[in-house]
Amino acid sequence: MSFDRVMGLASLGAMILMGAIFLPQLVSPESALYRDFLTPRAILFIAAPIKLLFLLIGAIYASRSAASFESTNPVRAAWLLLAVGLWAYVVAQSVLAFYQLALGRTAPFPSIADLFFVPATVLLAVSLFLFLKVYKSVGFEVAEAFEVGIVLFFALSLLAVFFLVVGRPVLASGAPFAEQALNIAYPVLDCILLIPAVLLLKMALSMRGGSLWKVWMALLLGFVFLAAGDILFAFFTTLGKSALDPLLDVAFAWSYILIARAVVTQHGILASSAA
Amino acid sequence: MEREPALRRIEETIGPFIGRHMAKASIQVQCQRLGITDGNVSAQQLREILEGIGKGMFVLVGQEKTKDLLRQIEKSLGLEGAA
Repeated sequence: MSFDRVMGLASLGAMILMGAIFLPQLVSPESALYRDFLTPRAILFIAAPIKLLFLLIGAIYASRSAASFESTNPVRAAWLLLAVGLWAYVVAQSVLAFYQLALGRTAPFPSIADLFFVPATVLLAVSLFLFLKVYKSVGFEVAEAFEVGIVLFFALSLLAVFFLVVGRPVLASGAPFAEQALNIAYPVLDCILLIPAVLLLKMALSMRGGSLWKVWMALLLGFVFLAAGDILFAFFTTLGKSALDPLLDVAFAWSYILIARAVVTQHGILASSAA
Repeated sequence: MEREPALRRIEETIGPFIGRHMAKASIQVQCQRLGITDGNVSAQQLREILEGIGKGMFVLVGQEKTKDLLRQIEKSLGLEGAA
């Protein structure tokens, strides 16, 4: 069985496991299952290593994909930025895992992890814009000016809603400056990340049936879950809705799993020519 | 060479990577660019179609895989060494 096939099954299994652990918690957090068996500590010991493992696989295979493209290939820089961004995520997630697994407590916010999460999100957004530029330059069906306008309108609307619901309460909360800045920066950066992701979706959809369709759909869906997780985190933190935290865990876990799945498949396609 | 069977060969080779829909669209774009409408297509025109398609595949699957695919198509169309 090829590694790509193993990865496909492992990804599916991990997504089902993460959904099965976290989603019922939204409905019945006080049930015997969560009181006696899936205690907060037990959940951390299952979820944190899974998140870290898939991020690590994603970073390694994105790096290998970047290295597989020739230095003259314009898309290599995009893969390289994606790989560096994922490595930054690995470091940030390792910091969180250290607090959770070694110290047995939730990581503070902000923490050292944020020193890596912020540049990581910027790098991922820049890499997606670069993919968009390269694919458009060779004539692929990426979004037209009208579609760009619609996506920008939605992104700006989302930001406007965000500032009304979250931005103002955050600024008025009296929280330390770093916390206020990060609670605003993450959703803004993620709205920016969503713009190229949605624009690349058109190209990805038109590749349905092909092996690259799997790569791009998984990658873009991974970015959508990542952005959704960050945006919801800001909403839930500000509105004090900690009962909805399992939704964030699922969004982040699914995001890392999908991104890892995508880059492993991409590397498999690139490596098959060298075989 | 008849246009339809030749273009179908190209579509069948790149389709497993970029899907049938995009393969068809990419070929169509190249045909429009070269002013190929119907009837027959020359070996030179096929080479130009392949060159255009190769540019797109290059950024998706890299140089080696693109060369492999183009070689396969050229072989199936009898274009090898017929420059």
